[in-house]
Amino acid sequence: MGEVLTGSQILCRTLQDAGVKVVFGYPGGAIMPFYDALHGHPGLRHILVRHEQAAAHAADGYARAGNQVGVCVATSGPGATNLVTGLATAHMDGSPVLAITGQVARPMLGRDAFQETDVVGVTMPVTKHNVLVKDVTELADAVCDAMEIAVAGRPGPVLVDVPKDVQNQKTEYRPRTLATRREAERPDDALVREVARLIAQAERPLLMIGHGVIQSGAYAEVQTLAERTGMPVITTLLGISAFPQAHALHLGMPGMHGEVHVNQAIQTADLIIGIGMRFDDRVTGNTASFAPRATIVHIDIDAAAIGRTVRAAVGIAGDAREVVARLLTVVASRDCESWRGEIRGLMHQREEAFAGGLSPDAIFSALAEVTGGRCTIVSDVGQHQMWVAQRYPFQRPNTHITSGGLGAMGFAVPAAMGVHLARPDEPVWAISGDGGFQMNMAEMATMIQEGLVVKLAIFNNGYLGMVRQWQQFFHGGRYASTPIWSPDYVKLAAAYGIPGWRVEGAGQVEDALRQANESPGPALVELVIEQGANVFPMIVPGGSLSNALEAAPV
Amino acid sequence: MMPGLITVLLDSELLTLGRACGVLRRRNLPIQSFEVDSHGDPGVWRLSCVIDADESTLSGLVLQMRNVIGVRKATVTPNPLSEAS
Repeated sequence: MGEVLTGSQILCRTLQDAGVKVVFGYPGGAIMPFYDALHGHPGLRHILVRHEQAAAHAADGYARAGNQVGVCVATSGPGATNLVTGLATAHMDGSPVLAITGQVARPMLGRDAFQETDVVGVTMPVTKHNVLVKDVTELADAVCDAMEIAVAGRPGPVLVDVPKDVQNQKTEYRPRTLATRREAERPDDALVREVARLIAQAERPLLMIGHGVIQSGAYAEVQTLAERTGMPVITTLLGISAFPQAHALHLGMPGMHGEVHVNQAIQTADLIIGIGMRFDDRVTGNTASFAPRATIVHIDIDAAAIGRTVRAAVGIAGDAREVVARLLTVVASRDCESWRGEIRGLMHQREEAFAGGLSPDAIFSALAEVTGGRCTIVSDVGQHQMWVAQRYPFQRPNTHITSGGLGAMGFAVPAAMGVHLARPDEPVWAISGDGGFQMNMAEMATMIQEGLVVKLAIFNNGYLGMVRQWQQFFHGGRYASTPIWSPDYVKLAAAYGIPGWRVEGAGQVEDALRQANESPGPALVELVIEQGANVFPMIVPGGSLSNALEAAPV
Repeated sequence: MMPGLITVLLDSELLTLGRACGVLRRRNLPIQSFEVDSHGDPGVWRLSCVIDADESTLSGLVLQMRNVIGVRKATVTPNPLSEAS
């Protein structure tokens, strides 16, 4: 006979036995037994956030940076529904997050009890798996199953909903060892040889790599493949930092805000090998005109992603690292000098004016200088996100984290808290706009209370900048509800006990970033940038990658 | 376009059925018929659905169904009406 424990104790023990060290959460009525049990499990560090959305984003950041399941906890009803944006973010970007939610007691289910929501129903479209546990004897297995599902194949979020009376029930606890990550199916050798043959025959081949390369840790394999074949490498938004930006073969980001020579290379290529990415609409633009000359090879862990938006001549469902490793056993050495010269001929400089010279280039080169490149950048969503993606010189693997598929403003600040806990020994910078920062700025209190060292950079242009840009380009310059007032961020930070700097010109930026970076705790730098700045190039929504805007349309 | 028959064997749980229906709902495809019955094996339901869509759409749908936790098997039969006749 094993130990007899309550459901809430079983929850804690199961998490602890699975190796969980940190949970992000917020207590409330229906989850109180769990919090009571948590008190007796000091090995589980609880981070008290200021809103459950932040708990989910922080768990997501922790998962992405630490390559392990991130855990968040909330009570029933509003606590659980507040998790939804964070779960949807993790779902779109394939991040393994476990949410544990309290639920009203079983006799009250379905009766509109206080703080009752059908959380399993609400979160079904934004989770890979979710379950309401109605019997305490099934609780440990439900949590273990959920954690195994979260990391299997394409990772994703899972949710376990536990009624309050189940948390209080007692049963024997039987520890279970989590299954190791299931191996993906072995790639078909004939298909791998076919890809090698296509690479040998192509005149203008490209590698396009995404988040799957980071998740599978295929950095060395992909770099070897690129160097052996000379194929230029394009990194999608979530693929940024899967390949060194300064490498001679690196081209940049494709798609809506991709550089002109990158998109032109796609439109000219005769072979595109997509690895660990899904050819989403921000990458392809109008699919009918995407890469008209190219044979597409699509390698992804999710068979359902292959050919979903762009027809693939060869599709290989498998783990990026394993497939590329097998490809390396058969691919012949070659170079692409002529093709790379053709692409270099497409490159050109663009004149951009920023007030005070405070351009994204000036900011990011200063940030790279003061951090020595030794930091993780977590960007929010909007113009600054695209500038980070285009211009920050990422050199080390998995040092760029952002909300890609969902594009959830408010992501950066809480996600950076999770990154800090996964990588406590190096700085993490949360880069936000003035809009996104104000969505979750209450988490500065969490940083102080929990001792989380997050550096905050705010690109303040007084607008919801990306929406303002679209209003300027496509809505006749009618700036409806995009001017946004900000508090005095330096004073606000001071109210939380956080040092802050306001930067209005390029001459101040390096000093402010250096002081913030070297400050022992959280620190904030407000960067007052050009109000009317736009992100270029830009492919109009639904347009072809061949037609980039490099100036505002008149 | 010709109708195709999607057959899904899944755990006999409303939760799993809800997830499978979610895949159909999100794709917004024209569904001609929809039926759930017992498959004969205890714990397994069979969802049969005739959909007016091209073959590649139906193949993609089946791949998405196979990703649903609790779905044991998903197949597509193109043009089931001609097979029946």
